[in-house]
Amino acid sequence: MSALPKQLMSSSTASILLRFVVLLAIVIAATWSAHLVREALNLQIMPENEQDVHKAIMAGTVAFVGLLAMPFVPGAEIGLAMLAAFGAAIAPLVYVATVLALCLSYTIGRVLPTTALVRFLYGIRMHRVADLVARAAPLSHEERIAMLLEGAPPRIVALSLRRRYVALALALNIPGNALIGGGGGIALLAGLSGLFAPLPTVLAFAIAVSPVPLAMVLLGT
Amino acid sequence: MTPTLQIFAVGALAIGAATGAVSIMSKDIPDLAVPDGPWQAGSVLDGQVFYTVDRIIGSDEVLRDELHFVDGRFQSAMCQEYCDFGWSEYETKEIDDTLHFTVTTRCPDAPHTVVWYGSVDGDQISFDATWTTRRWYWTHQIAAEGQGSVTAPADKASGV
Repeated sequence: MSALPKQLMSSSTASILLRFVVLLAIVIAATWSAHLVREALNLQIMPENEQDVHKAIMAGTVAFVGLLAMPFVPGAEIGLAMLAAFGAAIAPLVYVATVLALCLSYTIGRVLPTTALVRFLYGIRMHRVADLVARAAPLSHEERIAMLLEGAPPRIVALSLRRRYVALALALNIPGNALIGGGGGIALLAGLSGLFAPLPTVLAFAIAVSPVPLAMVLLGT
Repeated sequence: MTPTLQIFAVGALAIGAATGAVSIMSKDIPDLAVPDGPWQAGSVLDGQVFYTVDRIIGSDEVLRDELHFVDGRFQSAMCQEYCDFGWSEYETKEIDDTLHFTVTTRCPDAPHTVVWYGSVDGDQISFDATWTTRRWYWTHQIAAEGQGSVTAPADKASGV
């Protein structure tokens, strides 16, 4: 092997390693911040307020699933607030609720006919989501995938041609995904595209949303 | 099966699977470990009421309680106020002239389990306890320790 390809490979490995370290640092910083917020809130669950806390958690979870499933509606903040307030103990619930919300959005996209979905969304005055679905309706399956990855870095778009489930998981984590409605929008479009089989899609969702809850459980904050 | 029923069935299945997954992932916290020994159905402490000052471990919050022992059964006034635990059978054992007691109480309306383990020396009582709440999505525990005596505090004695 000549010196140039070797040099290129080592620079590429170093770049991947650096990105991984940066990602790890962000996850650790996020969990540590959540810990600090929890300390500052000083939320004590005592026998006299446990029932009220339980009711608030149940209501919050239902709202979280519903809002996160809707494109363009900020729902992730409820999950982050729950993690910040209750720490690692609530991470399994937040994690499963996130996967459930994405599955809900995906199922709606997969099961409901697009015309009916557009009409329904306009009916409930969710014009941005309706526009998104209406835009996707006349497109081919491949074009819908391209739309799902709008705003994603070119490498992820290229990856989608070979590893579409990996691309889906990455798309859920890239900051620019708000352009197509965030997690709910991506899951809805994945369902609409008809190119994602249910089981691997659920698996992709489960892996994609795992970093923060997993870090909280492992770091025990 | 109609499409509507199918949607409800899939939804129920998804929610069932999700709650099951959360329950599996959640870590349990064991109740207070009570040492083994020659425990016997309680009767030695019958008729006694102890007024205790309890400290929540971790937050250092201080609470006042009354522990009642009647007809082989036990009741904490504070637990009764929070969750209608009712009366629970207590056990005792005597080791080296020290009387130990234990009791596990459960709230019938919510998943709370309180385990008490302590000792009584004359008219003084001291104990450790855990209040464990096992919801399907998490287990939460409050650990406490307390001590007191059969003498009511001044505000109780004066009826304030």
